[in-house]
Amino acid sequence: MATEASTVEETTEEHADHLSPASYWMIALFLAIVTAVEVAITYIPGYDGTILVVSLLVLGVVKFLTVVAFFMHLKYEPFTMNFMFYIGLLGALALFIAVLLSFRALFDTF
Amino acid sequence: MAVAHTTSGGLDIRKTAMWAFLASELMFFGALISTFLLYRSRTNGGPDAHELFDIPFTSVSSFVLLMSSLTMVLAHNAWERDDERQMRLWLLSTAGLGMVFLGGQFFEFSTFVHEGLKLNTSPFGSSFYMLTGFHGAHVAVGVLMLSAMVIISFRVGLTKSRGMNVELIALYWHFVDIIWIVIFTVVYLLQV
Amino acid sequence: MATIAEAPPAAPAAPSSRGGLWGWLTSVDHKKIGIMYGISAFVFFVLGGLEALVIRLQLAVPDGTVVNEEVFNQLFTMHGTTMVFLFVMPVAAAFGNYFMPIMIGARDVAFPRLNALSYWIFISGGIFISSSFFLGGFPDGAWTGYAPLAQQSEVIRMDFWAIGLLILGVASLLGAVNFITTIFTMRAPGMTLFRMPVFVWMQLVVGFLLAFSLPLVTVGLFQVILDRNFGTLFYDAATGGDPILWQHLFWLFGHPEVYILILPAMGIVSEVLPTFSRKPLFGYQFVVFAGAAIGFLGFGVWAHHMFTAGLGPVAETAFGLMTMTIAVPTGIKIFNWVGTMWGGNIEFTTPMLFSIGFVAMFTIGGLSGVTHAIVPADTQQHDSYYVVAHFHYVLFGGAVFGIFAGIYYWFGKVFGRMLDETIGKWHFWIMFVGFNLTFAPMHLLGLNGMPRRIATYGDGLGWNYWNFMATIGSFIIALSVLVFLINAVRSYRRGEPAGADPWDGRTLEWTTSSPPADFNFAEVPVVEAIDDFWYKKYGEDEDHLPVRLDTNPLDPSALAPDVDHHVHLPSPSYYPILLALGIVTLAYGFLWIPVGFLFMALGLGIMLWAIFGWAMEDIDHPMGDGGGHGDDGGDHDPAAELVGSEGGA
Repeated sequence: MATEASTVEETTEEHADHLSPASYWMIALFLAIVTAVEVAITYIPGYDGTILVVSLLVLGVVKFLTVVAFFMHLKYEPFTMNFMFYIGLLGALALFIAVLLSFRALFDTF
Repeated sequence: MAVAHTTSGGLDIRKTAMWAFLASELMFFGALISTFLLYRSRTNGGPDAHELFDIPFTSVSSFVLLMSSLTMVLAHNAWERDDERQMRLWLLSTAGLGMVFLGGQFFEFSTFVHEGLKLNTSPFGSSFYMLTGFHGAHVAVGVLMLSAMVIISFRVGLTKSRGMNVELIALYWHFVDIIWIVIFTVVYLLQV
Repeated sequence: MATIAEAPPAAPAAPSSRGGLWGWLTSVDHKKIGIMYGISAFVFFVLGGLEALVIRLQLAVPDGTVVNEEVFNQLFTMHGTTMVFLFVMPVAAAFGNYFMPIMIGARDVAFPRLNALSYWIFISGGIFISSSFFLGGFPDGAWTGYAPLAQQSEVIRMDFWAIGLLILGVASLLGAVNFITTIFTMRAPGMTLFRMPVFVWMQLVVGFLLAFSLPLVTVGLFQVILDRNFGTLFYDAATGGDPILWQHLFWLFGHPEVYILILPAMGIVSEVLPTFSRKPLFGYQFVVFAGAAIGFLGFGVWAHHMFTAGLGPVAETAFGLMTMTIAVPTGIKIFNWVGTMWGGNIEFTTPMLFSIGFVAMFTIGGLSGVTHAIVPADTQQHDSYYVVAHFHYVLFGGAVFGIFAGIYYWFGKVFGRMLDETIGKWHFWIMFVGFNLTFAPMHLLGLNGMPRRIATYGDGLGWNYWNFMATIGSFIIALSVLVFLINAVRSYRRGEPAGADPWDGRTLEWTTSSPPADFNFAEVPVVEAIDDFWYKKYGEDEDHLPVRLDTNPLDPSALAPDVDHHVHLPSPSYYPILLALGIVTLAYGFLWIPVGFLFMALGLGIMLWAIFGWAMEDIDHPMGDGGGHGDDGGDHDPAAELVGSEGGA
């Protein structure tokens, strides 16, 4: 019937670690708070330059990784999937930092 | 729809494929973001980011998209519990929030065009619209897929034994969200 | 050796699901798809080769008058584009498609319909880009499409190029995801990653290279299209755009691309050499790690194509060093191949000749590559014929020789009849002579100052003699290809029946019938070691020499081909070809806006129909007769057969 690979014996609970809806609401609240903080600090006079850049990058990374680890469930997935994603992520970062550096544009833009 | 399953190595076929695809998409958006970073100050006499961007407005947009990730994960959770009614509710909410986000983008772009930033105004304009445009296109495709899932759910039913489509779409949708997290931080918040 | 007495008929085994043209158009069988890739690629090889012959005719003598500059630019653009994207990549896909699943003991790839889609997108993309010939002329911006030249042409040629490459990129990306998933998830019991054949490992590395490099050039290509058609300013220097960005984006893809071109051939050679040395591959793990290292490091050297672009000494030094580093894993592989042959019981069959030729010619090409890594030297070599010599040694002497090794090695398995060895040897030697005569002199021409991509050159520059000799060499190559074609046609019809294991091979494809049954294996193999098949045939005596055991470890489908093994297979589908048709309709429409809007709408409509039909296919109307043998419909679970549980109704 199916043309894609499929199976009769469906695993009922593939991932043992399952977060409850309540946990997801909490994580969403956390993300909202972080976003609010991000926006707020851009309005603080005097809080700018390198310290602002670093703070925003850190907060952005925290949100990014939170969504990836928990909403996308990567924390609980096998090594292979983690491997593929992080290789892509680190690769992208490395390559584009290199390209921007070669244009001497990396630090200009921040 | 085909049924979910594990194979040799304990890896699920469709999830593996989706993660490989998403890793590839990271490179795609990385290139778009880098192009933008290169060109952000090349305004060719046209308006620049500082003049145009309305951070409060975009923050609300970002918040909307973040919340859509919540509704998405709740939809997935409902599907896992075989609660098809709840799943549909949360899927529709996700699609709805996605459309609100797109509406916000559309409004924002119209304003920018009005204030003099078009696709061909400057390298800044070109790269800004290309980046946000491709992101928006990804959101739109996501909304279409979510809607399709709801329709299929009403037509044939989308219980767990029918496949992992909700999980796959969820991965795609969250990915679109995390790209926006990067865009919001790097394009909007970190202006020169 | 124990092989079956009677070979199947020479034609590819009649599909159990549907026959004739419709059978091929709707097939989701990796073997059929592999054959289609192979034949298509070969047609493009001939076309690309003809383009090269015209180039060589034009350059045979100074002040040539065979073609003018405009046509010449189109010729070298298409020669490069065709050979890279429409020949070498698809032929690797052909071999990968056909043999990777069998080598890991699977019955197909993870996503059979997606696999078919990759093929149909590829062939429509190839036809699309080649059709430019009739619709305004071939693209003429070189296969590298540098900005701002690519933006300037008023004619739509470079749009054909950019859009065509986008289409081809989609096909490759889908194929890469498919192959990666298959290798990670569908190996037979006992087939750990480190028991896989090197050929499979190389396909895995190539999959990652494709997945990570294609998106980069995709962004660049979209920027080209936007600049050309929507007035964007990505590469417009006057307003702040930077053409160097294109070079980065292109070469960030372009360099991994050359490893995508060579690694499959290296994988083939890594299978052929052990078979005809009757020894295991020397240093299997080193060869695997070296392949992975080449892939990884391949992302770190791209700017060595840009040493004359003004990157500055820091960048140039860094990339020069990285480029030298990448010679190390390559060298490791060469030593391991030599080590494989050393002390072996060598049989100089045609595939073996091509493989040894690969090792030698690739080494030469690698050496000229190392000279490129030295930045000051490269500054002189760049854009000269020295570069042309370098990449033809690695791509022709390397990839093409490897490909022919694979063809001679596996032809019998695919078509049931062996290629003729005598004609094969003629093919090899004529090609070897012709190839070296064509490209060796180009090192000299380049060092004597001859630039590349010039339509003609003046008399008295000292380039006449070697250009003339190179042209003769190119026609000798053409003769050798003709010899091959004769061999292929003759052998297909009346070559010697292959039997399951004509070469006394080591890997799983030799346990199947020739050609394999639709389902590959009647019984999914259980693997206990690298070269498991060999060790089921041979033990060792006190001197570690192989001793034939009293076994016949072929798959039941090879031992008893007429028995119905009741394996359920994925159903054929017409949605992949339909979707590809939609995509290419959309593409053509884009080129002739505003009239084209109609085609774009039509194309989009077809795409939506195909996507929707595809997604719903299993629920409402399982296509046709369900495919495979002895299908009892309904509840049967095809995937169980695909992934290695015991099959059968």
